[in-house]
Amino acid sequence: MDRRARQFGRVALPLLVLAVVAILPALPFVNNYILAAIVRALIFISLGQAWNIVAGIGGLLSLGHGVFLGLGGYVTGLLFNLLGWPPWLGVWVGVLVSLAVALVMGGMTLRMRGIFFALATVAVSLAFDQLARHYVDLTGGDNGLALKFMGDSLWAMQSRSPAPFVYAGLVFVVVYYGITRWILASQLGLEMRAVRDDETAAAASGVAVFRTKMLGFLVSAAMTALAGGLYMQFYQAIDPESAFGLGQAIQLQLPALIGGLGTAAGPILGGALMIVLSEITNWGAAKLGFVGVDLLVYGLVLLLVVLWAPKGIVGALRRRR
Amino acid sequence: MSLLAVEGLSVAYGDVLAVRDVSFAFEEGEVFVLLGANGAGKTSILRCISGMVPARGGAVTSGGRRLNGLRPHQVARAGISHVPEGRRIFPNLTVEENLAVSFIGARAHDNAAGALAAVYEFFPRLAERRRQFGGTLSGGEQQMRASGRAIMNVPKLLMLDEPSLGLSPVMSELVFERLAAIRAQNTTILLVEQNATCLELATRGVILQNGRVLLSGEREALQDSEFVRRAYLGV
Repeated sequence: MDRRARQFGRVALPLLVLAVVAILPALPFVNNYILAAIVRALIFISLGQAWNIVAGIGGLLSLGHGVFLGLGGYVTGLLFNLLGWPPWLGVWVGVLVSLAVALVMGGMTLRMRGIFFALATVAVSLAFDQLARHYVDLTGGDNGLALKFMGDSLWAMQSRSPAPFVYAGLVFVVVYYGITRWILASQLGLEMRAVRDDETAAAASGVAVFRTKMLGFLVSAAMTALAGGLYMQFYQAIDPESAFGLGQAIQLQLPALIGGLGTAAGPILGGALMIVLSEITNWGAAKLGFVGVDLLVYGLVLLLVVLWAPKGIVGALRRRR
Repeated sequence: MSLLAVEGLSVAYGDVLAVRDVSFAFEEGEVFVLLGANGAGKTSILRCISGMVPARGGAVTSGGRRLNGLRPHQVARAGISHVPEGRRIFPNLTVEENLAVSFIGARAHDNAAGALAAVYEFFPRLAERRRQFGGTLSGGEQQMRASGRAIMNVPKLLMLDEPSLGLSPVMSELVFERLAAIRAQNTTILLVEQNATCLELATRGVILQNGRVLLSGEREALQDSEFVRRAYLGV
């Protein structure tokens, strides 16, 4: 690929896609169904980008990021329902709570390596799942927590149309992409990647391994909780399964795994691809009366990626150059 | 005061003692060798000095300052650079990034570019490969990179764990040749080896067997020892 084509791929194409998505809500033939799918994709991408920081750059395969998604969502929702705090404020409390939990959770798990870390984070997730189900009066238990509906309200960050969430989601995707790029280029990113590649050699080189892991974990947790707030506002509800369940923990990994672990563009490509596939297959499945086929497609795509493109879409594209 | 002094050091993994009551010390400018077969405890001693495993007993001091109890990155920042066994490159970082990581522990932070240039001058082959991923280097190049990483720290003490392991004879000769040059730049070296040819470089050393010091002394004494003759020269 010559240089101009590469520049187009790196700069012009993303800006073009950004512009098209931003114009979509204004177009007459774009209905709310399509817009909602786009918002789902943008939230999916943001959560995937946050997980990518800890797993892709830091090499820590956390299966516990649902905890931060859930805390961001539940805290934002509870503060609104109980105290009338607007989500603009409440979500930051959710971020703070997540940071505190991440500090404790990281302290317990970050010294473990590989699969042991992953399993420990699953355990924390399941503990939060139980807590959310147990305190029925506060969290709504198994049924989950629904936001008090306010109609269209900027103050309450609620809207009948998904259009405003398209813009909120775009801001998230762009900012999270920027944060990822910044971390990759920073000293912290270098240290995280060194720890990912070889913990022992990193320590021998003077990298404070635990501190580095903790910093990455905290950044990632805060980003996940913030996106969790957006999740709550868009879906207007959250329940233990969709926050702390194992299914969600796996979902959070897909954008980065499919798009390319540790790359800034990976979660965007992976997340977009997954939502498009899931929409197409669901539509096809509804016609054929075969519901839930999207999960099958997820599994299939993941299998294909692992077999033929272990470094994801970005890795496959790079190799072709 | 010795640059490094190890006194009565014991290291254990669970109930198994890997190092028993080992003592040695050396001064600035020396090349000190820990020689011994597999399982003699050489690597455990290095890992203990750099804070990766705790000491069961005894003490490690550098210029009178106690090292045991410090965490690995603190030891590295105190100017003691450890090149672990198996070369330990970062496969998904470029050669240049690999070297940059080592500068994290460097004392002379302001001169990163100068240190990098020095390493490239030292190992021209690395300069040619600077944009390449660490994992794509040959064994000898990886060892250069690992040593280059340690040199960038401008260490007081460079500890190398079997730098010749798995290298072709030509490459290992090249690595030892470079070590001699590093030493000429006033860096003290603690070298762990199974390969007795490294004694050529040494000022002094100890021979370890089953976690104990079998023999300690000047280079000549070690070279002439019964152990080295029997184990390595077959006479």
